[in-house]
Amino acid sequence: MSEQFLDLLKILFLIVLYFFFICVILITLFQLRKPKNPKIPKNAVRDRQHSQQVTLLQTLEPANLLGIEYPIEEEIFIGRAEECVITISDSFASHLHARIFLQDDSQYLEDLSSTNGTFINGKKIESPQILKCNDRIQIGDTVLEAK
Amino acid sequence: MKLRNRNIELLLLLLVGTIVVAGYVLASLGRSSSIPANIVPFLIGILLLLILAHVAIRRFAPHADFTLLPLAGFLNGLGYVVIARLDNDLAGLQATWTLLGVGAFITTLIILPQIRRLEEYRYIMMLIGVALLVMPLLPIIGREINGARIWVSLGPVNFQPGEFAKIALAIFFAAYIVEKREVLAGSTTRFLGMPFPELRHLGPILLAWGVSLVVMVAEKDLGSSLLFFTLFVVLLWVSTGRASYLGISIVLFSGGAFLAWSQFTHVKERVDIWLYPFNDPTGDGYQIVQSSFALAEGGLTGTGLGVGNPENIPAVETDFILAAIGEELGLVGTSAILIAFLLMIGSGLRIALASTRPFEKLLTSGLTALLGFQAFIIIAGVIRLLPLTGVTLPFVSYGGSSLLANWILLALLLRISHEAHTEKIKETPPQMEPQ
Repeated sequence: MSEQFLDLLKILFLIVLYFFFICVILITLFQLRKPKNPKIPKNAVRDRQHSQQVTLLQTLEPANLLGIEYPIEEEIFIGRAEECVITISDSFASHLHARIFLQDDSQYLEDLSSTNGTFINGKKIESPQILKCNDRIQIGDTVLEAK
Repeated sequence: MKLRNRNIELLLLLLVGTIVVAGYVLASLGRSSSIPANIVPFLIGILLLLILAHVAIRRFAPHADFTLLPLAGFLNGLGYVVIARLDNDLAGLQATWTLLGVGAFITTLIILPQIRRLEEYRYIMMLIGVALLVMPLLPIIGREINGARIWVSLGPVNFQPGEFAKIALAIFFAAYIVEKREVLAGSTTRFLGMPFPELRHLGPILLAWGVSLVVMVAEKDLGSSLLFFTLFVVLLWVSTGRASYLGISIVLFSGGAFLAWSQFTHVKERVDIWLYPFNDPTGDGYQIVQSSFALAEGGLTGTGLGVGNPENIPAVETDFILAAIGEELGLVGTSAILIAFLLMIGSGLRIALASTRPFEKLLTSGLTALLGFQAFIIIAGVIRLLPLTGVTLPFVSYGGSSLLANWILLALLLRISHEAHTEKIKETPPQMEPQ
């Protein structure tokens, strides 16, 4: 077996190696882009969703805080801790009680294993739930309405 | 759509099979100018293993990420080719370990249909993790090999329990932090001007970490202690989003490293070998000097598989397998290993981003960090970026415990990935329906 021939085989081997990586990278990119595709033909649905996207939370209860509005950012925490964007001084609320986060164009409300639970429209949530307009979030005695 | 994805995985696996078999043939051509006699059984064996793992994913985690298995198969296969080229006996053993590894992968997928079950067993996981770490220190079953007391021998089987301990402790750390997230993040205690969780909440985790650290110092296993430290810091950082933890830990680590360097002779030796390998090129520095020669000999594309002399490097099948790859496939080959690890880490982090529950997010981050940092620690040691601390290169190095543990780790990642994507699929249809 001549040396040049072995060298050639070695280079070919390395090329196939990198071809494999290129395949993996292309597939990854394709996979990252894909979730958007199914939505495109359903423009109407998409627009409706957009127009209904929750942009702020308005306090309904307790009455002394009625009407206070909190804009929703990409990720906000609700709780008693001072670091929370929405600080509520409710004795039934935990320090870090709940979290609202944006994922795939939807806002989710997640209960952070709080002691007394988080409710959407009166129902206790077990896993992150999509937040829609007019949903009422209840934490302890505090009620926030999504707008 | 989902069927097509899994078919892509199958195609990637076939490509991996081709690469591994081509490498095996090339190594044999380079060594003895002949096609290996057992090429047909080898080809069938490789394809069977890959397809077996693939079918298991199809059956038990059909929505899982489909780049991780091909990448792991690639690393395992290329590692096997290099081991087979170095030592026939070890190659036979490594084949058995790979078979057991894939078996463990499939078993994990079957017996763990829901990852949240692990969350409930957090304290059992802590006990298992610590017990596994202490095992090598026990009399009779504990063994010291090459200066590190990290082995346990039960009858004819030698294994490193530490490899499994890291997974158990990652599960415990993740579950515990999620449970105490509120008190960990909403703390008022200040340390060096930075908010810091109260000690009583951090207690159990500090205890587990401290025990593992002390044990590993007693076992002279520096690489693993570094790995556990990193795991701990990454999880705290990811769960709280506070960069101050990174700062604190760098200070702690520097202090600890300095203390270890000034107190322990074996640590000092390691650092001296790292800085001045040519002071004693035939004695203490022999391994790292030979490894540097091997990398230099390899140059850009290497000598070709089976043509170099990587067998001169001590422990070349385990810790120094990257040097063998560097000699025979050059910079291009070693970069391929790096790229494969980077792609695996990328896939792991994507899984962490895709999952919605905090435990899954943290566990995925932890497992990905373990895989990535273990690769980093040993690669950095081999190329003299860091002092050498002997850990295996995941999936590539020879070693039964390491292979088994990493295949189990991979199964956990795929299980989480499957759950995250299943949830997404469940949530998508109602959004689509116009009212």
